Amino acid sequence: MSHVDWEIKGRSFANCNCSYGCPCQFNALPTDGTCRAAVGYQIDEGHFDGVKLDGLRAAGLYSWPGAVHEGKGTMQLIVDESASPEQRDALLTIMQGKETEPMTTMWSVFTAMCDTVLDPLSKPIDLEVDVDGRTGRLSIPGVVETRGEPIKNPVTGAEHRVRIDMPDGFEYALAEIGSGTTKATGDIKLDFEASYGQFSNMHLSPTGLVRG
Amino acid sequence: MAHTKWSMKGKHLKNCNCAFGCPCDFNARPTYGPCEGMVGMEIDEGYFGDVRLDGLRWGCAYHWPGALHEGNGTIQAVIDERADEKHREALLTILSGQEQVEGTFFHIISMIVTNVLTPQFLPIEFEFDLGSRTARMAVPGMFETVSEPIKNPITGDPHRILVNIPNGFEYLEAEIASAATKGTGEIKFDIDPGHSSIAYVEFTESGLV
Repeated sequence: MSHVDWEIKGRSFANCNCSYGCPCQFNALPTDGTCRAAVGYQIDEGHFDGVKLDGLRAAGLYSWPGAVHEGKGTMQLIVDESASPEQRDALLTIMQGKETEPMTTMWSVFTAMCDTVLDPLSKPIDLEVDVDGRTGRLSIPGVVETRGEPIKNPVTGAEHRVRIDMPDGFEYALAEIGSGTTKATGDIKLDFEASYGQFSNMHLSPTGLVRG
Repeated sequence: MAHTKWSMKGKHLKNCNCAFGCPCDFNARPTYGPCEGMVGMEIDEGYFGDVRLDGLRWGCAYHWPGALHEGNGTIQAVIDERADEKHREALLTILSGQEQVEGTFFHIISMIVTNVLTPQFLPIEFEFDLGSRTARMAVPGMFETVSEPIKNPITGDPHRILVNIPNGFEYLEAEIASAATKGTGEIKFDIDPGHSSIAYVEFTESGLV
């Protein structure tokens, strides 16, 4: 099936409720049984057909009662208020997994695993993502506050660097793993501290990850 | 302090009771509380001073009541029965954390173990294929473990994922797999499925190369 030509290059910062080393990445079950997450996306360069997406920001909040692949999730997307209506439509299309080969992007997978898709929001999004430094911040007033920092060694306090390399992944090829803390107070409520933080470069297209 | 120069370069296998994606690698707590399983290797090329260690195998069964860094572990080493007296002494010196700088894998293990059971000298069966993420180590009367690829829970397809620790002390990069691991000796466990790390490593007196 042919899709609208789109491409996104950027960075993402995700914080979920699991322990460092998110079991989902490994096809294991979530640490406490449920899977909840806040994710911020900084688009450095992108387009959707003729619509430029450079410099835009977006976020997603997700909540599943069990493992992601068991479905029944609730999600809400947020697009930065600076986006034009065309840009907003383009981003929401991509982030709802449309104009995409099914299950080839995390957005397609996440949307397929959610049976409740709340109305998207248009809000100011403050987002910083430093992939190599394993630091991040996602702030959307009235919706979510997330911070990320390196994992610390429990004995020495030294910063711990660990990466997950997923050659055939649908979200990233290589992610730096850190620690995150989130409080979401809008339609989807999240509250977790010092749990799995994931920092990665993203390069996505209608057929999934662009590799190499 | 100057240490004897040594190296163990070869095939490394660590299979434990946690969920796939060993939380220890991330400084998280073990999935179910305790940490238990096996670690072992086949040395492709190795030496301790002027003693060659090529082709020898070693393994350990272990149990910690909580996270590794909280200590109180119990461990039992097994050395390849093909090892002669000098080989045995060399390997047990390395495994017990001696003749190496602080912060190496074996030094760290030695700091968090309080109960070291009598080392065994037994035949060690070993198979290892990093590319297909399959491995097996079996020591009669002590433990047996078999690794295979993790499968996608929906499609059943093999799932490929690596953990990469640039300043790691056990490995720099490991393929992660699924393992069934049974401890039948003094340290008992019965894990199916659990985490498996499969890696090529080179341990030396100053840490990983």
